[in-house]
Amino acid sequence: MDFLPDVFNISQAVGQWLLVLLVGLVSILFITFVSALIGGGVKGASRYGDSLVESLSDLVSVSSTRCYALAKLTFTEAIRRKALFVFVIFAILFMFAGWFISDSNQRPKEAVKVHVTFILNSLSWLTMIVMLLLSCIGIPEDIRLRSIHTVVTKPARRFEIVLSRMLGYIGVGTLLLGVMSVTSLIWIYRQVPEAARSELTARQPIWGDISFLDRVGTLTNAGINVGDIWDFRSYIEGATKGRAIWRFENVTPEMLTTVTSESGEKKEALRLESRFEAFRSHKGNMNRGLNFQYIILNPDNKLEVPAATLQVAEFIGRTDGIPRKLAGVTAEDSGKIYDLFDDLVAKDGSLTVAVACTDPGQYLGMAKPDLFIRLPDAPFALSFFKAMLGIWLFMVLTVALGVTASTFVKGPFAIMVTFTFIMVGNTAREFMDKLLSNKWTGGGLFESAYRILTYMNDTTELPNNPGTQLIKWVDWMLNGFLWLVQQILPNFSYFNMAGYVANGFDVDNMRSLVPAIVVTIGYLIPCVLIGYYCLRSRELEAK
Amino acid sequence: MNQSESRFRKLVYLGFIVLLLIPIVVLGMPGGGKFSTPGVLSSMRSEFELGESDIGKIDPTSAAMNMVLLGFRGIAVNSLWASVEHYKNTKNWAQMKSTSDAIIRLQPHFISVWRFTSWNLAFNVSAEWDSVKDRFHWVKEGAKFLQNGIDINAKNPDLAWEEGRIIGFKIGMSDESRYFRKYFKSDPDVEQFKGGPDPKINEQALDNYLVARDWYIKANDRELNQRQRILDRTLFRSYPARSYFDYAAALQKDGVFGEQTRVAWDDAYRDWTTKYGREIFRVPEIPEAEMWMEMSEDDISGQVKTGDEERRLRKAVDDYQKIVNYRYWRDRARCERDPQMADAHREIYEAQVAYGEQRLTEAKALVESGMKNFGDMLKKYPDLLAVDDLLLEDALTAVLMWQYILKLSGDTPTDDYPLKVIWDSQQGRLPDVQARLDRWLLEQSRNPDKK
Amino acid sequence: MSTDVATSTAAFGSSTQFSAGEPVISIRNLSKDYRDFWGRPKVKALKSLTMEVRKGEVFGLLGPNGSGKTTTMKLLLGLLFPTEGEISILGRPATDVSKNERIGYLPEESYLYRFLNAEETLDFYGRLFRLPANVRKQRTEELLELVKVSHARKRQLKEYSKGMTRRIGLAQALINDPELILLDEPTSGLDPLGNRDMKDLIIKLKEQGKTIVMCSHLLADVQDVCDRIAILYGGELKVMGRVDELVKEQDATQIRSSKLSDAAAAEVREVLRKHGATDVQIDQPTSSLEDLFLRTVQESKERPGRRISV
Ligand SMILES: Nc1ncnc2c1ncn2[C@@H]1O[C@H](COP(=O)(O)OP(=O)(O)OP(=O)(O)O)[C@@H](O)[C@H]1O
Ligand SMILES: [Mg+2]
Repeated sequence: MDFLPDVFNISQAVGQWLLVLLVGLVSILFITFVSALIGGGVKGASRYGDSLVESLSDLVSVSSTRCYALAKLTFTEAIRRKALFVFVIFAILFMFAGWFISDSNQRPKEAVKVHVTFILNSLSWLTMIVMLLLSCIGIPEDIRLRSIHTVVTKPARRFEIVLSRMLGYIGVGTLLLGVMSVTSLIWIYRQVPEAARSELTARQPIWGDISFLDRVGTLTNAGINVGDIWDFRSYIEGATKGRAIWRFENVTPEMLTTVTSESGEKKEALRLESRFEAFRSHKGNMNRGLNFQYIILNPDNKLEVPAATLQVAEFIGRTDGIPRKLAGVTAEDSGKIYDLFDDLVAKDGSLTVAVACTDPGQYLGMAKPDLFIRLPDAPFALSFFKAMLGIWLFMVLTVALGVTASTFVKGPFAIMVTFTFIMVGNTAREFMDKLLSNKWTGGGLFESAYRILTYMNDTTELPNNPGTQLIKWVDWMLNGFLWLVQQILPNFSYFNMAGYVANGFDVDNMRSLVPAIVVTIGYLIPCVLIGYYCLRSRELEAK
Repeated sequence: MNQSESRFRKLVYLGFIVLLLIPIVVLGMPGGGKFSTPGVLSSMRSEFELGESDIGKIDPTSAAMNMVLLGFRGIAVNSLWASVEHYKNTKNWAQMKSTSDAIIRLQPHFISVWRFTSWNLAFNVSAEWDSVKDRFHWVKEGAKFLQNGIDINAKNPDLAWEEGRIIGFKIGMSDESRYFRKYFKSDPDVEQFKGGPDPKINEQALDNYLVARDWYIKANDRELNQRQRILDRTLFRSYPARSYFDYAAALQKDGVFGEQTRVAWDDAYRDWTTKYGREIFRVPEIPEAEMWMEMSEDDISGQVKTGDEERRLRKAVDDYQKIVNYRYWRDRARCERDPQMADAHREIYEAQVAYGEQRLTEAKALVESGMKNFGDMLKKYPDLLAVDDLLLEDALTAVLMWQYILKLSGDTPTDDYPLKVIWDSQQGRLPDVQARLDRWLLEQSRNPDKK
Repeated sequence: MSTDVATSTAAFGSSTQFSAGEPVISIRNLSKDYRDFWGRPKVKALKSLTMEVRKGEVFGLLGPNGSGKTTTMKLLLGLLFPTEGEISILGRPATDVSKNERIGYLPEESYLYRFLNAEETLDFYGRLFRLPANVRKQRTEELLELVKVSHARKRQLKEYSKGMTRRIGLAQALINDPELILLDEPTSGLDPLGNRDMKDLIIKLKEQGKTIVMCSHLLADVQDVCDRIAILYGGELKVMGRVDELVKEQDATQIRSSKLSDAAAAEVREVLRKHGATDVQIDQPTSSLEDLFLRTVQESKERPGRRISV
């Protein structure tokens, strides 16, 4: 796996969220109160108080019966609006997907990757688009046809209307995804070549923390850069003291797995899976891949026991069992047998594994997710449905955003607004991060435009005059706006769990699933509130 | 607004619509109807052979995809390129390949895309992998990818040439060529190919240079109808014949001597002088006359009317012969097809083997006879000495070998050995040659069962 | 005004009971400007309307097209927000949703969900009132019977004719057995029989003690069923009062008879003239509400901005 997001810090996120919500709420209340006061004097203020009380009463008098009725209405409406036509598109997609992605040359592992990624991505986008269209036209159509008049003149709260619209569409989306996910799973099983079925699995990794020793053995936090554009992996030099060292917490004998060795015998071992990259500075022996060595360290008593010398399987990875009993090799301890858990696991329960490259002059590239303890795998369906849950959450978020947008603008605009929001959030996040990181020279939008037009070098200082001040000020404002946008946009990357599934990993709960749930809820709540406020403060006349 | 006014306005709109329709009809009307004459675009398309079916095989998938995208193909392709770049940088090869496939489905007739992507796969991606088998797999990916392009662009000569490059040059000349050439005939994926070749690239288990030659011939056939945009035409058309040279040289390098290699050189010689050498070119230097490489004085005077023309034609022949290295290869092949030269190669090689197996007397006899034969042949074709070439390296290797043997058997080298001229003039290349020989000997000692 | 707006707002949720004759709706100085996209006033649809509707009465809102009747209703229901003025309906402000528990509303056109069938429609609206399932079922039955569309109960509303849709519209307005019913042109699109039924229904509802506010252009019917009426013109209130009083012409007498010969009529005319009567006319009687209406419209046109005294 070539990505491993950080563990999500829930309490911090929730705290920040509450703060933003509170600040937002207070400022909205304040602004509306002041404008009511200015607009209508004391009377305006008292009316403002009344409507505040009414809003609160709307919030507390939510009835499940009414919500159910409205949600069901939404659901029926969507179905009778032929939302299920999407199944036809889906079916066509599946019928012809083979044409696009199957490639008889593909190696099994790559076939799995390509198929799974294709399915999950197309499912997620297909559902997103359908649900976007549905959720954005629901309320505006209801207003345009004035059927909403017969609803709001019943005791149905506008809050309930917004909420139930969302619930109804979520129901539709759930139905769509439910059917499509099961079909997809079957399709994947059938479409993936026989030889690759074993790659349809859900690895259960235990990740460690990585650190490096440089060629003379001093501790560093990164290895050598061999000139890759991608700075994901860093390298250690072969046949030196260079090491990459992983520390795994809480290693217990329960982590032992039954592995089948090359000779076919089964035995208990600690499974380590690695995916290192080789970099040759000279051709070396081309008959084989570079060699690396696992060395188990016990920091308590400085014990070092080499566990195995193996060949790198670049870009494919390899799984090896470290047996429980390891033999010492140095002059002092040769013939001595060490027990992995009794002698090598440190007192604090951690296991330290060092990786060395044994080919002189060659380099081995490694990053944190490149080595992990592989517990017995879970079934592929588990990670697949977790990823499906991710898509479901994405759909929920889409619906929430779409319904909210549709409470204040007409359908087509709502679609545009929501779509832009989602697209920008999905594609431009990295770019915005870069823009905001201040790593780029040449200034902001206007400053760099000025530099381009005047052929000015990006390190030359701008002349000190009011024009420069103005440009800098405008850029500063724009940057502030960009910052705001970036803060408001949800981090959609949590929802895309295809990377785990495609690489045969179980979706990580704390790194992807939980954040996705939290983010969804975090947006759902303000969305419902904003939607309610917008629907409440507008006349339900078609304009 | 009264009624007649609004009617008038509607009529004006109608007029405009009709006016705009006229050029569309004139330009765009498809041909092939019973009564209609085709529109301008349509006739131009058939004139310049730009219709899909003229260019090559129609791929229903790409047609469908382009339909679905309406006018947004450009945008889609752009974003796909961005992701190819991203996947390449993050070494996600599988996704990179499948995204490239998607691009090609959108732009099936964009020749540079085919060239770029196949090159990327066969050269760049393959080099990223550590294991030679994996590297070979990606070379094959590049070659197979390109084959698609050759089918889809049935008239384009560039792609066929490029395929010849991958099969001939990449497999035959890269650092891993020893393995690649072997794998080309018996694929490392034993499970799938049962020890045979991958039929997609080498159905008949031939040598890579012979397969490459077929592609070059295909490129040449296509080139007669459509201009190639890669090399000077004289050079471009020489590639089938060159493949024969490469083939023969590769046989020598692999240690195959005797009749097979000699015949290969003989074939190469005849292909070069009678086929390629007789091919007629029209060159800008002297457009009035026909030119070919193997032109005798009589041929030249037969082609021209004035003395000036004769001078220009002679110069042109000379220049173009230099461009394609015509005379050198002619001499080389002539020399190599001589049994004496074959003997020289064989003897030197066998001397190396004998040395590796510590059969010193035998080795000494072999190398000395080889050096003598070599020297005789070089005296016969002195022009060969003028070119920096592997042949000279072979000569250096022979002398070096001879010195090794003498050293091991305790003799001192004499000063009047046959290849002395070369030894003295090529000292600069000695370190390279020596390193290569040492490595060869080392590998030989590691796996003695190897032929 | 007897209902105190402020106290009833504070006591939201509790239902205020009204005794007959008390005002259930009171409107004070109500104005409404429709605005365009930029917030500029486009139409003054209602100008300073003040009126009351009392418990148990049938109140008719009359006026030519575009005079502001529907606007008034929408304001009452909180569908529109007043530009100025105050509304109290069932003792609550118009924006308070809980008042809707006791209100039935038939919109001008039947804005229903066309993809539902009749049964589903009534069931849906019943749920919005949180009626228990059995009550919902029973009411649905009754109402479908009442509005005479039970034969088409399973058909989607998009297949319904205009009158049929209207009938379902009426049924949904009554689903909660409301005490205040707002009917915006209840008879539009109905056949003569339906018209008749509607009139009977309104009278029946009135007998049950419900308060009804209705707009209609069928003045004869209005005269038959309404206790009080208001006539709007251009958003202004022109006439308001009890129907019988409004149509009673104090200084006019109408003589009705059957089988009166021409000679006899001449004789009667002679007798009346002797008693000092002027402008004696003897003819077929006309609907006097229609007279009133036409007269009001005429006068408003001639002298805009004045309340007309009858
Ligand atoms: N949504 C709207 N936007 C702008 N103006 C409106 C809107 N609805 C009504 N009006 C205007 O307000 C005025 C009053 O309209 P309203 O619908 O209340 O009339 P009405 O008395 O119900 O007429 P009718 O008898 O035709 O139903 C009219 O001039 C109308 O054009
Ligand atoms: Mg109306």
